[in-house]
Amino acid sequence: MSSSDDPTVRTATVPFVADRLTPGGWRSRLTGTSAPAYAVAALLVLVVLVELLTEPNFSSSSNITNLLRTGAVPMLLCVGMTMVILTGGIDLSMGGILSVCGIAYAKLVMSGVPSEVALLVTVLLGAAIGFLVNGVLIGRVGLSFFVVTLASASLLSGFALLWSGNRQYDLSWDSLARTLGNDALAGVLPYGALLAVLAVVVAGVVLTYTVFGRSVYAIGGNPEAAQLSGVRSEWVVPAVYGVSGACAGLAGVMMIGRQTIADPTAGNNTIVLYVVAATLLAGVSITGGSGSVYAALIGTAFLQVLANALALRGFNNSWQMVVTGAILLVAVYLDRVRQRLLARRA
Amino acid sequence: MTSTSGGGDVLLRMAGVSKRFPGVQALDGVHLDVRRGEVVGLVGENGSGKSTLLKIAAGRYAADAGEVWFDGRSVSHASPAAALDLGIALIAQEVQVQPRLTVAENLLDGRPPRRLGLVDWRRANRQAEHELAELELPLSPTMLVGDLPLHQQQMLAIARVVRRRPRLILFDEPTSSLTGDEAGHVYAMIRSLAQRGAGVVYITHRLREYFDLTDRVTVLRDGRDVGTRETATVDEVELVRMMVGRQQVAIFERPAAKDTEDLTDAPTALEVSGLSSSRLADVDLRVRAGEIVGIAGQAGAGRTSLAETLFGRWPHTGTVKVAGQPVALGSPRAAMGAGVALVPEDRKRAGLVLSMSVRENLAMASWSHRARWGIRRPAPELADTARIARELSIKAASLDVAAGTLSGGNQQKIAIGKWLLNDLRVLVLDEPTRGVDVGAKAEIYALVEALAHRGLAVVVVSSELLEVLRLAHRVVVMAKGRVVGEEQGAAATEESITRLAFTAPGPEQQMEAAR
Repeated sequence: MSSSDDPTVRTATVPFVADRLTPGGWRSRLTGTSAPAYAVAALLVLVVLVELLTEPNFSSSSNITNLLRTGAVPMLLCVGMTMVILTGGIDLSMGGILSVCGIAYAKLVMSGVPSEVALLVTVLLGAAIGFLVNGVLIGRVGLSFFVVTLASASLLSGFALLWSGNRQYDLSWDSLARTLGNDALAGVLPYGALLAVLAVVVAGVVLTYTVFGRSVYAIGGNPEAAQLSGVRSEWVVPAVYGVSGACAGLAGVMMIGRQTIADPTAGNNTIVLYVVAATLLAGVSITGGSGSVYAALIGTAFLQVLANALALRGFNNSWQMVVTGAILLVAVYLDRVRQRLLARRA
Repeated sequence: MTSTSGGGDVLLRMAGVSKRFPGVQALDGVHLDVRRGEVVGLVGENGSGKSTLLKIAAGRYAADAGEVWFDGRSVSHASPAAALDLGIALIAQEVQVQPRLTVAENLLDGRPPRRLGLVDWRRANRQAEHELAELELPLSPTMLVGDLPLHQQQMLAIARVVRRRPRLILFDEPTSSLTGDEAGHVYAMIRSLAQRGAGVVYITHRLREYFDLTDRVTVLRDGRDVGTRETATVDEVELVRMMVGRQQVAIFERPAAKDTEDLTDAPTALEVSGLSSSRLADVDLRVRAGEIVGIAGQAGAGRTSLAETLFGRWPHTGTVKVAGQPVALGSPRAAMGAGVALVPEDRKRAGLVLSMSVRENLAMASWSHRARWGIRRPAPELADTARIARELSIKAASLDVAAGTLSGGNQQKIAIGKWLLNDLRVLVLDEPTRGVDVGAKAEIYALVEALAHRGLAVVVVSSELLEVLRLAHRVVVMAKGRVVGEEQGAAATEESITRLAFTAPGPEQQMEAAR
């Protein structure tokens, strides 16, 4: 990607007519599209430093491991959500897919299917729901992403309850789910967190270095221009909902491992909205075309660390929700201020 | 009341107004006076800053520098609502009505008569009916505005403004979507407004209208005002010279070599027969390799529909052959596969992804050729895009800045350049120099000619007659979705083309203005 130092480009270009900042350098970090990501990263470092200095329990290895363990599921969901939001959409059905896939996995392993096969089938099921239901209706039929995923969220959540007979299944005996959702490498690094980070890196590479990835940005940036440039929107849009569904499916199995049960209400609306908030926080634009999966990683990490810090100080879950909402509002407000300042200067 | 602001007879005074948009200085120290009871024409090419000036007067944009006085008071920082309350009304180029609301609601503009705080529908409709009759508009108050043809929507938009008796009305090409009778109706409205002492500023793309309607004209060129004249003291030739600049008249001069070129032996690259759709009727068109065919016609004649249909955007019937082979233009991708490319008229909406880099915009249309197994290959991409940027002398600090930060001319070069990385036979350009400054315009003309020389068949759709006359080997004139005439470029004149465009059969209500 780095090309501003490519000699052929230097000779090809002539002084710039507009007085916008050139890319690179600290000034563009403060004003460019990744400014929110840098700002949130700085806040994250700040919170971590304060915690290290004032809260002895924070740095205990059990707390760190716990932090990573609870962060894994939202992180994984953020990967799918980021791709969808980059195309200018949103996937409200990730929770529903998560619930259905969790029940599907439980039914499979309880009927004697090997866990590895069940995992594969579950992830493919999530991808298929995302691609064939959300993706086709949004990307091919042309229905509103909001209505489609809202409807499929309700449909799938209800179906998970009906399919399980509103029961929870005890799956504490399933070692694969436990490994993904609970166990930690050398007792410190949870496998789920490693998997989530791997997903972030893979998504980051795909978004940057493949035609599919650039198509995602082009569609989010300007769907009409993308279509008129021959971008295959009719495949790319369903595919991002497929990726989102696959992430939800995998998260469903991780959730089973963490909770030792398969719960038909595992993927509730709270987690979906939390994931949207985490994605948007560090500058993935709700209108599409701008942001990165790394920004989503930073956003999630910040919210997780903050929640952990609040919990260690005895604030309960309700407070964490209040704080998350408030931070998101402040973040989008500041980003709007930044854009206004830029527009004024341009 | 009188002060430095003019006062007295002067209703609106704009002094030293400047406005910058990313990548372009839209206005630079412009001065405009409008007196009471006067119609002032604002003249200039596309992109000269006329619309921006009106939007500043109406409070839609804030000027970066300069002052605006209305009736002796400074209104430099007025909001759109405040400007409206003062009696400044803008009728913008885009038809501004609420399509989902009724004629009465649109006309009464959000202030229908009320009873006990609730809208009194019966009285609202009666009042609207009365006012429509007064304005001689044959519309029913209860009709949904979205169901009306575009020209009636525009009449309604004008009526809505006129009924409020504004003291200053700014018209931005109000007649471009209107039929002859309706345009006459609008002229009458404007004259009666002026007679009542209102000030009027009028923009049109038909030069003749300035002579029929205005008392004075102020001419803009590239965001600067180049002078104000009494309309009676100038003629069309002088007005054009002021618009394009004495030394710049040359860019519209037809290269003599063009008319000595012999293309009769060149193979036919594009052959269209019986092309019909909801907006086109039985269009035939033949373009030889190396030939530039201009498509002229009024707004709504189907020029853009033809361009977009050739690129596979709309369902159609009829046959299209590219280099002798019949092709099915079912989608833009299919058209690309056949070697057809479109540079759309609205480059911000449809031509570029402004948030992405120059490089990515250049590479976008040829991503799938270059990639292997769906993975981008950076080296060829760098080389290709750098080559195109150099060939087209695209001016940018680096190819990694967002395309939206470039000037209009450079953006347009990207919109053209991205197609040059594909195997191309037919290039369709829709308004290739809209919103482009004079220098870039000359470069784009040279580029289009160079591409034709390389053997491309080029179709240029343009509302600027001078542009069509400058570029085309052959001019095809459209009206109401049909081809109504054709002339050799060398023989064609503004008059001959306008005559063809206007002598078309009566208006069809269904043919909405060109999208």
